[in-house]
Amino acid sequence: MKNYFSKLRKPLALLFVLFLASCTQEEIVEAPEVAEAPQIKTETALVLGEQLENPYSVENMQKALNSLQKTGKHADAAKSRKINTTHLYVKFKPTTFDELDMLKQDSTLVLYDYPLDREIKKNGDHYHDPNVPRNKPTPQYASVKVDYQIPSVKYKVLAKLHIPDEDGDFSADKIESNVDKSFSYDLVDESLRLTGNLDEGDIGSSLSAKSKWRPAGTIRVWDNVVGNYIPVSGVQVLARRWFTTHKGFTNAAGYYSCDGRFRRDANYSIKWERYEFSIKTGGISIGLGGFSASGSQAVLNGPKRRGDWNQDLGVRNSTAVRDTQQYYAIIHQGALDYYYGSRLGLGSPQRNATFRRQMKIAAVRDGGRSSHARQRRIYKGADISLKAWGDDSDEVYGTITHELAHSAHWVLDKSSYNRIVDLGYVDVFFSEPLFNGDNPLYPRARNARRLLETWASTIEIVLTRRRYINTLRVNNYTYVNNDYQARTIADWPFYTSAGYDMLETVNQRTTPRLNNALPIDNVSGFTIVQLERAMRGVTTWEAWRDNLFRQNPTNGTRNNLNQLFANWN
Amino acid sequence: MRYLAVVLFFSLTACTPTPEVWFRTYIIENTTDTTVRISFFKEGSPVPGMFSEAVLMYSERLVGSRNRLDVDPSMSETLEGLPISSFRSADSVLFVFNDTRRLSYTNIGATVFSEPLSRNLFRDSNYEAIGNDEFLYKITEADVERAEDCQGDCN
Repeated sequence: MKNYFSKLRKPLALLFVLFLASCTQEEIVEAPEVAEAPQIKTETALVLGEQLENPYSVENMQKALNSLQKTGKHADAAKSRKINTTHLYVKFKPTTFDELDMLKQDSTLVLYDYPLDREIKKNGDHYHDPNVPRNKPTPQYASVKVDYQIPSVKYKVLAKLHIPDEDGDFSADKIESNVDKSFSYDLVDESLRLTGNLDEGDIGSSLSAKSKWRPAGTIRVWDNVVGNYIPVSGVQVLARRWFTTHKGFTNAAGYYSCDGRFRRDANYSIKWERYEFSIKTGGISIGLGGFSASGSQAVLNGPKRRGDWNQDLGVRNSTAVRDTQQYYAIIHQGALDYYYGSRLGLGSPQRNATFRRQMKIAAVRDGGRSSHARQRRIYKGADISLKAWGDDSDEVYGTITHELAHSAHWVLDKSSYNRIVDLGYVDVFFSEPLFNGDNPLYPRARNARRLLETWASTIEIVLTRRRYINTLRVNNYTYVNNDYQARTIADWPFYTSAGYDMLETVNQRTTPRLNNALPIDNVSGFTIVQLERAMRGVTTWEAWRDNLFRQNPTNGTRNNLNQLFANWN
Repeated sequence: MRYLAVVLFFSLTACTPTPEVWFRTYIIENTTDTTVRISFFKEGSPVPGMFSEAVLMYSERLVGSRNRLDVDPSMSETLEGLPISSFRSADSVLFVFNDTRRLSYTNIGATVFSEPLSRNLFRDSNYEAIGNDEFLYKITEADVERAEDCQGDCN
């Protein structure tokens, strides 16, 4: 240990100096509002306007009731009606990201990053309370039933609410009689009027005020590989009016229909989050990527309207992903398919559960090298720093798949995974000449790095091909570098084709021309599950090969495994 | 101690797994007064998406997919065929000028290119570096003149 520490001392000291010298530059910064094309949407913060008078507060509802009594309308009903507290408007103040995660454990709780009783002056795709440091979670706002068991996170009740007109499909306390219903509507209308929240168009329009509508629509994203807008599935769409939110999830056709109805306009939004994962705004990273602890929840704040909301994300005919919401949508689709879809029998990435947390994905608007690092959980950073900005749609999808495959690898065999990372990325830093970490000279580092990246690349190719060929039905589709079959040995020493080579039948070396530049591939007939099974207990390239040989005696090409793996020695 | 070192390393550099990466983007520009229709094919069929057919007017550009490389391109021995990967692994391209004249280039694999080599769209050396890892191929009047008359069938 002493010897090891003495080995580490110098680089650690240098690291510390580097950290002090550079940490201020490593903050994620917001990009300027300029991009390659003016119509492309970049990240913008939501801007709040004035504080609104709350029409649903118990006090204001009481005033509305008194007013109705005076007018004589619903006189009998007004006399017998009591304005009790049905809901609480709560501001949660999580002081740590663990506490925020605790709140998110309750899927019935609909949380907003911004206050629900403030005017929205300008829509944006994220909001962080300016009074809260960027490295702390922003307060969360919600409306909860009065008997709701509030999680043990610091909170403040901002208002006691009386909401008589909530009309969810699954509400236990639905209004029964038409008389009650009519009275409740008039009560709400009166309170809206008294608090100055009745829109001009609503005044005197009893029909528009009382006919109900259900939020619904279709969400699609531009895919430059398909050359069209395609549905985004599994998106949670929220429709909110004051303190009532109705939710819907898009199906395979991108269509959603919310679980309740409104009488008036509602604010539509999408939160790029599911129980298992959350997409964070990544900004642009300067220098070292992945410092995404302060990234806000990515959202799409849609219009305030009555009627369907159909949204196409991304710019038609764009040839790469350079629109923020398009970027989120494709990342969402990749993560959703990996977590919730059929995975061809492969293991899952790390799941959310009590004492665990969601997979956090920082959508960095940068085209560098993406990364997966669980260690960032130590300081509540994002597990995945995704840098596929400016790539083709299928590469964005493939890249999130690749990074989640690293997480699944960790779940499959934590000890081996950590050892591979250690060998491929950590040891090299400490044992080789300083500042040579990105160009490891030692064979064992190259070996480990190749194993780690080849396995994730294999899953990347397989799942992306499945999406574009089977789901999206794209003719003549191949993934990057012709499914990696055009990757030469010299130019691609780590992200190799070896894994995919074992699944398909092409021998690149027999294609003319490149002579020895392409690998010899006389292996085929393995399945992705066999490849995964052979990863257990493996920390070297050769050990994976040997497991594959030993575990698959019926594969007629297994004798060629040595030849295939030796391409990269 | 070792774990702490690992944590410190990853926390500070956030570089799991982030080896160096190089980029190369290939761009085609129409510098002629003619309208150029560009279609990419693989094994006789159009490649998917936006490169199956693009129309460029004067000074318009078609930007290929960005290539990521594990090694420094200046050290690469097989860079010459890289533009293929920018256009969805196409093995041929067809230029149609004003719907009257046509010109095509092919590659076999990544090293055998059709003539004239000095104009073949799939060769890295036929692109001019314009900065930001971008490389430009200009369609010129000479290309229009060299193109064949379609005689009514340009496809």
